[in-house]
Amino acid sequence: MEEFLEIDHTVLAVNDLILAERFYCDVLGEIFGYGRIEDRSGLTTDEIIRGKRLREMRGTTGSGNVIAPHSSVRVGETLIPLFLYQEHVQEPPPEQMRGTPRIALTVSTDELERAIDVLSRCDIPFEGPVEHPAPCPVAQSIYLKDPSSNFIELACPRE
Amino acid sequence: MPRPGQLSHVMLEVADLARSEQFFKEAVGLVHVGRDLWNEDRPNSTFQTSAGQYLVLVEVPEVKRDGPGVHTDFLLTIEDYHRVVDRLRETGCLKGDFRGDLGQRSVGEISQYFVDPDGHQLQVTAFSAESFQVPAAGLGKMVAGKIEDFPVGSITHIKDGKFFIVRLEDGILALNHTCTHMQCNLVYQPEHYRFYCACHYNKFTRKGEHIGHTPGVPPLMAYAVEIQDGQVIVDTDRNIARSPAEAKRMVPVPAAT
Repeated sequence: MEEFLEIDHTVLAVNDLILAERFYCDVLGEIFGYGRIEDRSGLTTDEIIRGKRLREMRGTTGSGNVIAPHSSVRVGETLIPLFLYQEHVQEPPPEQMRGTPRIALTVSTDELERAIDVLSRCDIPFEGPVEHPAPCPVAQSIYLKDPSSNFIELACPRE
Repeated sequence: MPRPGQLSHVMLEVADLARSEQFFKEAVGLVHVGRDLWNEDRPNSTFQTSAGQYLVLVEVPEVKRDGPGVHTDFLLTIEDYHRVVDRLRETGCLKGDFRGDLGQRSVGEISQYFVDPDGHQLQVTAFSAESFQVPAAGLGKMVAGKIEDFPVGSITHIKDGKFFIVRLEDGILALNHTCTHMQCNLVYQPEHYRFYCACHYNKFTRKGEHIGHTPGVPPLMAYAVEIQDGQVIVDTDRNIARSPAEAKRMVPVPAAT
């Protein structure tokens, strides 16, 4: 059986790249001690011209979509590319903090406490900490949403 | 167990848990950990990577459509990558590598996209050892031209030698045309007085100093260059790594030439 080494990245779709960058780099970045933009695309003259050339060469990407503008942020050690929606998409209700699909970032107990402080200070609604019984691999979690209502979980692993 | 700051798990919605479980077990080959491990009010199934991260499938009545570009990428060794891709090809779920087709993969980077039974896009990627080396042209010493062929302010691409001749007021450089991030080929943008890499949007000054977003990218490597009898001679066997301080310096051009 092959060895899947790790998940290198998982992409999220957002409806505002600037707000998303600020959330991941500044808010989650403060929780994890690191939040930085690593790539940007579609927001520069280079990319507009490149997009035109790509359309001439292929029309669309293999997935059938023109490559959407995107940023890639690194939060802690996690690379999260953020692609811009090209249409309006139904968001979950504002009061719903927990749902699927969702991504979860690993936090220590100290970071979990820091998260509560940072999210409260930034007026970002969240649910938790929620305790999970065994055999759940995670002992406790905080649930929140990014500015585009992507479900995010901060997960403290079970020892 | 993932470290703090690493991805813990990704939860995907699926319409038929048994069907998806079989797909990820047999077609993809992920290690299955168990059912209903998570504190969710819906049936769920968990797979794990060597780094201790989880892919969790959650059965829902109606699977939401993914947004543009949304996918999850798994890293494998080269050998395991080929076995997985061969298996995925047999199932008919491979979607190719559009970025590779457009020349936007670095040297030694191979990748394929595929879809699961619910249409979620996934990716497998592997890197060979050459992904992490900036190659020298290895053509020995070559004459790039006469010094007057490279007036001050000129940037000339010598494709065969894999370098740019950069002539500025300070002197001359033969910069390796390979991006020091992940070894894609650079282009020179005269409008912006910079080198540009379309793979990950890294940018470098005319002296090869890194400017842009990606942290930790070193300056462009340079070949040894000398001027003899008015000719610019580049040693394409000597690919020199430069520190940020060294990248500010150029090889002076003798006044007599």
